[in-house]
Amino acid sequence: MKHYDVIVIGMGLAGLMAAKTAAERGKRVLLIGKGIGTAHTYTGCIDLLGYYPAQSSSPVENPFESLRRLIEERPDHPYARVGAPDIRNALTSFLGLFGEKGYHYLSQGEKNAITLTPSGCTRATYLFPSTMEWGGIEDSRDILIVGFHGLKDFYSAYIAHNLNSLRKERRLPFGARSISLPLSELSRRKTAPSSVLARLFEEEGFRNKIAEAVRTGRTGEERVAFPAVLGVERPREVRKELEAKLGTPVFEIPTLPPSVPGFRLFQTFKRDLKKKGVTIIMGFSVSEALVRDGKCLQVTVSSPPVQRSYSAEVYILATGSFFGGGLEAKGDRVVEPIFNLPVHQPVSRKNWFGDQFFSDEPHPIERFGIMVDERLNPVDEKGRVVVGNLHGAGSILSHSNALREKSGGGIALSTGYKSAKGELH
Amino acid sequence: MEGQPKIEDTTDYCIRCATCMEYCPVLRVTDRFPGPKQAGPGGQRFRGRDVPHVDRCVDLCIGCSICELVCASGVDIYRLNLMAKAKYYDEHGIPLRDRILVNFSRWIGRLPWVVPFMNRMSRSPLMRWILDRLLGLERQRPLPDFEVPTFRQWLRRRSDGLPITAESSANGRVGYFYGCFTNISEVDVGKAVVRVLEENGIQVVVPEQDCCGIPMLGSGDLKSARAIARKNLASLKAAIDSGMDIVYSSSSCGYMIRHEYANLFGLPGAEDVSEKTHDICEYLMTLNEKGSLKRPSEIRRRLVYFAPCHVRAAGMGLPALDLMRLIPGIQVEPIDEGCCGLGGLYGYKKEKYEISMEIGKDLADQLLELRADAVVTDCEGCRLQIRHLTGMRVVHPIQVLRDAYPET
Repeated sequence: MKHYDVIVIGMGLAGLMAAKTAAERGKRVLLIGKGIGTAHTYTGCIDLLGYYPAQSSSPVENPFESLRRLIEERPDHPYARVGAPDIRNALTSFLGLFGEKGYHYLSQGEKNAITLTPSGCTRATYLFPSTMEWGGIEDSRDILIVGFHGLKDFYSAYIAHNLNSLRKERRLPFGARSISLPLSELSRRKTAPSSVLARLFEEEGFRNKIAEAVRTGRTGEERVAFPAVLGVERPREVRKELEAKLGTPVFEIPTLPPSVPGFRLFQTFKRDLKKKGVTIIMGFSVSEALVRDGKCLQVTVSSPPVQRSYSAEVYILATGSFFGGGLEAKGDRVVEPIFNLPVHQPVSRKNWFGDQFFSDEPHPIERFGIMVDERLNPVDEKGRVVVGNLHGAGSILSHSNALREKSGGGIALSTGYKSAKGELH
Repeated sequence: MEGQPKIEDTTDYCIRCATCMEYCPVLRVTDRFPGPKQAGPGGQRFRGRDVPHVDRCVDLCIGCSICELVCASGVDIYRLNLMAKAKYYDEHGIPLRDRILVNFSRWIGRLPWVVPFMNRMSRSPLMRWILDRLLGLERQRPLPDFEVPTFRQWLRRRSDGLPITAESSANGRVGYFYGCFTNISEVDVGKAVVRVLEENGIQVVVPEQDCCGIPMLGSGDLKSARAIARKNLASLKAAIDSGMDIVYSSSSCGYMIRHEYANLFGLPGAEDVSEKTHDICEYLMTLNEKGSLKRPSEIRRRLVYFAPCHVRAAGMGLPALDLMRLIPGIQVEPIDEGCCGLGGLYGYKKEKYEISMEIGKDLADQLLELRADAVVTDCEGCRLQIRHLTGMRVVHPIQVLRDAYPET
């Protein structure tokens, strides 16, 4: 059986961050993921705290100030478990993955940024990719939104329509107009998923055709928005060149999944982890864990019919919530399938389902999750540590309203960081 | 039940997140393939047992299984495509070309005297033109050189004249599944396996074996593949029952034996064989963990390692990389994963050659940029494709380790 210092289970943002943090401290790390992790399904922006309290209708202006309040008022919240200094440390560590010169992440100082969505709405986030730089909503310059016939995950007319409605309500200072370019006339393909289109953008010939088509279609708009497909490996150069050719600022609006910024984020992490010597096993889930006397001795990875066991000093559980499979809903309760850890169950079965889809109230199902102490060790209802050498990280943790609060990214990074940072022998 | 796949139907686990669409090498280069999400769980909804097959496009799936590895929802996308392909060919019949191709190396293995003739034929432009027109065997794709004596002949002659010494069997015996390609075209890989194991005091025995069956899978001929699997299982089982473990050097053969015999065919005894069958590098790394691997000596080389699909799909990490890192003086860099584009016989078929080359272009660019002394990869398909794409020297990891065991 192969032995490591740290085994991280789960390849989402929390797991990646945990693996990075442990590897930086000289640990031999094994990272196991059932799939490639959920980074690909998100915008690529890192939310810290968008709304607090969760049901408030206007976004938080300064997330760090609101975090201070949250940590005081909600001691069970994952952020309170991590504490303000390590939240900052985690963000700094994350930003360090990217060079200043290439594709990197930006923030509006300590403030939340309001970004545009693929449905033509606005949303609060904290860190955003440099390719989204010019998408600010305080900017009064009109936007030309470029879509593609053949890209199914981005509807430029729909976005422009919704943005113009917001402008009529005087909630936005700019107007928007859309064009849709037929992919079949620009390339050899009729259709392309976002990742393929992003690769086409790295070809100069394709970019020239796009620039030409956009110049023809533009009627004085001073900003040009594209779906977030401006290159995979060299988004900075792609954007700069388009800007030079068009003579206007160019920026990206996230698409529906799959997300190219999410892909870039994952690849950046993975390259870094490989450089640090982290072993990655992708595509297989941990089928069971052997725990004796409050200590995990080994985990078993299943690639049927073969079973392989691995052991470590410390284990980090970052398997996500319902979406990632870290939590499972059984007949009348929610369980954690690998270690069978105690799961916080804030409401009974009959209240699992709300009758209001667009309610401002956070959904109780979000607060389900494993309970942890301030070392992120899983605990039971009475606060007793269940498995001493196990730490939890990411959306598997209970007591947050991540979807409503817009705090998922920050929770993943900071708990991932904290879970692997200290107390590792 | 015997012969029934043991895998549950995972179609409905798909949440349409489309992550697989970002990683599919075929979709990347052509929109004639609708992508794993559509062809797999999407198409599955229209594929009833008694309903005729509706979508020929599944034939373009290259079978790399990357979609399945990246899927976080546990959908067996590759397997769904494989079954759909089999259904298609069940209904439409398997083309003559494919029936010849999948059996080609088996025949040569049995009739080694045809080798010189075959080699001449495969180098004749006229012959290639005829095969191209008549059978749809792409003439731009070089056919591998065949070797005589075959590995099997070499081993037999060698054991006749060379009695097993006490040193070469001090640590027991293993059965070696060498696979068709080692037998007839890369005999040196087989020789390297024998050398390395004997250097470690392990005697190599060769159980009776046929093709593993994986080429038939790729062409949708599950019936023949199953029949072969049953034959191989019987002889491998007998070897295991006599106290041996089995090792393989071809990652594709190994994947087939270790995973598909049980998962796809549900054959009795397949799980027992799977448990005792190991990738050669994985096997040697286990020796290393026990402290009983013979220390390799220094060789100075800069290598690039490319992990084949079937190594990644086996879920064992990258034992070849770990093994090469034990050799002093070796600098080895793993290359970003992806598919080499050959897909076994896929890249030999006329209608798929262009797709195959276009997929491989990325990998070729990366490799050429790194300017290594050689590329290392566990799969013969990847080696053929990389040689064709780059003209570089491409070897199996076991050949690297063999070179680090100086001849005495």
